Amino acid sequence: MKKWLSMLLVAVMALSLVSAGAEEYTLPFGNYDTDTLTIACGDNYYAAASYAEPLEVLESIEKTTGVQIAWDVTVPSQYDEVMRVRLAAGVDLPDIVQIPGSYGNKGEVFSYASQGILIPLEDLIKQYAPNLSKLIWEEMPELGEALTAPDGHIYHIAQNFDGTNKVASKGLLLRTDWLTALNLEVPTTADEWYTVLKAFKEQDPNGNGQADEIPLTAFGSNPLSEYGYLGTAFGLAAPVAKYIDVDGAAVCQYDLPGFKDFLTFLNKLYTEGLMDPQYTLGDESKMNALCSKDLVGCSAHYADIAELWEGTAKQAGNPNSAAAEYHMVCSPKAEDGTEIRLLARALTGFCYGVTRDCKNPELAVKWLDYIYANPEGRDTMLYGLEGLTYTVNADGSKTWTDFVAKNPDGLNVASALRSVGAFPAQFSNRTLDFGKMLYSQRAAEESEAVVQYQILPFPQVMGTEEELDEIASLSADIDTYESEMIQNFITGQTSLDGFDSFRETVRGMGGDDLTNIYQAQLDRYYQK
Amino acid sequence: MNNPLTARRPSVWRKCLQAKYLILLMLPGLIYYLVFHYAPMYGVLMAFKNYKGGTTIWNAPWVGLKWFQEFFESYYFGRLLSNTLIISLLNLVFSFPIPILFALALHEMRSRSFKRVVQTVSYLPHFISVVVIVGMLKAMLSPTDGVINNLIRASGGNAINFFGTADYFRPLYIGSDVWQSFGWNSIIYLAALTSADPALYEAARIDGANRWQQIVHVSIPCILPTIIILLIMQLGRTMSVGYEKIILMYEPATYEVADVISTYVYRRGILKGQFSFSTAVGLFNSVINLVLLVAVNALSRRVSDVSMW
Repeated sequence: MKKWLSMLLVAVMALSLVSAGAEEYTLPFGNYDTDTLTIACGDNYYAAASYAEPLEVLESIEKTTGVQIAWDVTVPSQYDEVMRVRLAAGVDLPDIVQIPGSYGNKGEVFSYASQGILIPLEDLIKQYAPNLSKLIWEEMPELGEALTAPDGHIYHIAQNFDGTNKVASKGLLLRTDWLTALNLEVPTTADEWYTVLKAFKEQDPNGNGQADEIPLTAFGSNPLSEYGYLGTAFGLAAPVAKYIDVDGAAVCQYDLPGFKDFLTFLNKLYTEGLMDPQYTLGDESKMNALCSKDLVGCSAHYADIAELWEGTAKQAGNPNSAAAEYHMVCSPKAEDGTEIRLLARALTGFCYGVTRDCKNPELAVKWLDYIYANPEGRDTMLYGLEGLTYTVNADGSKTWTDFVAKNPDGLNVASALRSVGAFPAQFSNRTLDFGKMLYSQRAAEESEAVVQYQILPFPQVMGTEEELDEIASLSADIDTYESEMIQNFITGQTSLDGFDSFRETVRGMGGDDLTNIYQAQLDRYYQK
Repeated sequence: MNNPLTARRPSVWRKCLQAKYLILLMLPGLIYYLVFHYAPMYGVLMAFKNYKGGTTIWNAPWVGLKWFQEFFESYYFGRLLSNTLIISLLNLVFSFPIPILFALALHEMRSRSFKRVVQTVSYLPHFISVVVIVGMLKAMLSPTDGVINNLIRASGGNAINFFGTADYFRPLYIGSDVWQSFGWNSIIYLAALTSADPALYEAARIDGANRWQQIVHVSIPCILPTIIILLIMQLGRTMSVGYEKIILMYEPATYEVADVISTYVYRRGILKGQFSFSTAVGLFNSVINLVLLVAVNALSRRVSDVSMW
C-alpha cells in the first residue's frame, strides 16, 4: 500500500515537472575536462580565501556539475568601478557577470540588457532549468516578478534574502551594560535617547577615568543608514531612506516635516559631542576597531553583529570591559504617536546575468539552476559539505561542526563558512532553515525587538531606458547636494534655518521630476 | 638627379637617413606618445555621442553638444570652476616659489656634507605614495585618537574635526603638497645653478657685491629661463588639479571647497558610469588648459624672449 502510494507520488511529481516544461538534467551535466565557465564577481567577503584559490566547497561543486569555474574576481569594494569600465569596453566578457552597481538598483540590470550585454534567460530557464522554473514561477512568484524586466524578459538572477530577512533584522545595537552601570532604562523617545547618550559621554561608563566614550557613531558611506534608526522619533521610516512607498505613493522622506526635526536633533547630538566627531567613520573595519577599544555606545547593524562587537569590546581591558553587552533595542517612538516603521531589507541583492559572449548559455543556465535552485546544489552552496561544515542529525536537521560553531581562528559562522568557499555572498539563495542556522538563537531573539515593526522598502523596479537616462542626469547632482547639505546641517556648518531653501534648491535642480519618475515606476509595479 | 637645387638641399628622407641614430633614440618616446596620448584621442568622440558601452564608440548615436550644455547648466558648474582655479592658484602661490627659494638657500650652503644631508632628507617625502601621505594625515589628525587632537585636548581645547571642516581643507591640501614636493622640485633649479659660470660670481665679488647681491644679480638671472619655462608648464596645467589626492581627502562636508572638475568627472564617469558626459567635461577642461598654455607662452615670448616654442 505504502509502495503504491509513493509510486503515485513519484508519478505526480514527474508529471508536474513535465508541465513545467524543463527537462531534468543529470549530474554531472558538464564534461569536467573541457567545460569551463568564466564568472566575474566581487571576491569572497572573507578576504583571506579568494574564490580564485582552491576552496573545498567550490571545488566539490565543480566536480558534481562537471563544470570548471574560472573565477575573475575583484575586491568587493572596488568591483563596481572596475567592472563598469570593463563592461563598457564590451569585449572579452565573462560568461556570467555580477552586474556592477546592481545591489539595490535594478536600473543597472536593464541598462546593460538594453545595451545588449546581457542575454534574455527566460526561454533557457524554461528549457534547461527545472528547479529555477519551479522556484520563480510557482514557489516564489514575487521573486520571479522582481527578476522580470519592463520588457517582459528575465535578464538576471539575484541574491535572495528571503530566508534571512525573516530572522535577522537591522536595528540599533546599544551597550545595555552601560545602561545598567549608570542606572538607566532602555530609551524609547528622542528625549530619553538624548539623556542616555549624554550620560554615556559624561559619566564614564567604561570606567577608565576618561570621557573618551563615543555615545553614537556611524560607519556607512551614507551615515543615515545608521543614524537613521533614530528617525522614527520624528515620524520617519527608519533608516531614513530617501523614498518610501506609502500605500502606492512615492514619498520623499527628505520633504517631510519630521526630517527637519530629525536633523535638528542630530545637530544637537553633534554639537554636544554625543555623536562621532568625524560624523562617519566611512569604513566598517574602523567601527570594529573602535568597538575593540570599548568606546562605542551605540550604532546600527544586523542582529548577529551584536556578538562580534561585544566580543571585541570585552577584550579592551577597561575596568568595565568584561561586562560588555550589545543588544538590539527598538527605534524610538514618535511623540505624535506615529507608528514605528522600520524598512526591511529588500528581497534581492547582488544581481548576475549571462553575457552575450557566453559560448554555451545552456551550460551557464544549468549551472545557475544547480547552485541557486537545485535543493542539493543550493544547500551545498549555503551549508558547505557534510562532515566539514555540518553534520546531519537523525531527524534530518543539520548542526554546524566545531570548525564552524567554535572556529579555531575565532571566526563567526558566516566567515568560517566562507573560509572554505561555502556561503558565497553574491550567489546565495537563502532559505529560512539556513537563516535560522546562520544566525544564532541569540540573533533571532534580538531581532524580536524590532521585527514586528518592519515594512517593505521601496520596491526595486527596473526602469525603462528613458527613465534611466533621466535618473542618471538628475540624481548625480541632487545626490551630491543632498549628502553634502545633510552633513552640513548635522555638523552645524549650515544653520538649520537654511533647510527650506535647501529643499527649494533641490526642487530647482529637478527634484520633483525625480519623484515623478519613481512614482511612475511604483504605479507600474502595482499594475503588474 | 642632376638638378643642382636638389643636389644642394638634401631631401627630408636623406636628412632622416643621416640622423638615423638620433631618430632611433627618439623612437621609444615617440611611440609612447602615439600609443598612449594620440591614439586614445579617438575616445574624445564620446563627448559628442551618447555612449553607454556595449557597442563601439563609433556606433553610438550622435547627440551634438548635449553634454556640454548639461554641464554648463549644472548646479555645480560655477563651484567646480572656481574651486579648480582657486586650488591651482594657491598651488602656484605656495608650491611654485618654495622650491626656488630652497634651491637658492641650498646653493649658498658652505658645508657640502650638510648640504647633501638636507637635500636627501627633503627629497624623501616625494617617494611616499600619496595614499600613504593622506593616511598619515588622517591618522595624525583624527578627532578621536589622533596625536594632534590628543595634544589639543590635553591643553584644554576641544577636538577639531580637521577633515570634516571646509576651512581646513585647503591649508591641509596645499601644506602637505608643499611638504611632499618642494625638495624634489628644487632639483631642477639646483642643476641650473650649478651650470652658472663661476666667473660671474668672481666678477661680482671683485665689484664688491655681497652674498645677497650675488643672489639677486647672478643666481636668479641664471635660473630665470628655467623658472619661466616651468611657470608656463605649470600654468598649462591650471585646470588639471591632481584629483587622486583630493579624492582621498574630501568628504561631503568639504565638497564645497574641495570638489574640482576632475573629481566631478571621476564621480560621474567612473562611479555613475556616465562616460559621455564626463568625457565632455574632461574635454572642456583640456581645451582651457591648451588655451592657457598657448596664451602664456605667447605672452612670455613677447615680454622676456623665453618661450617653449
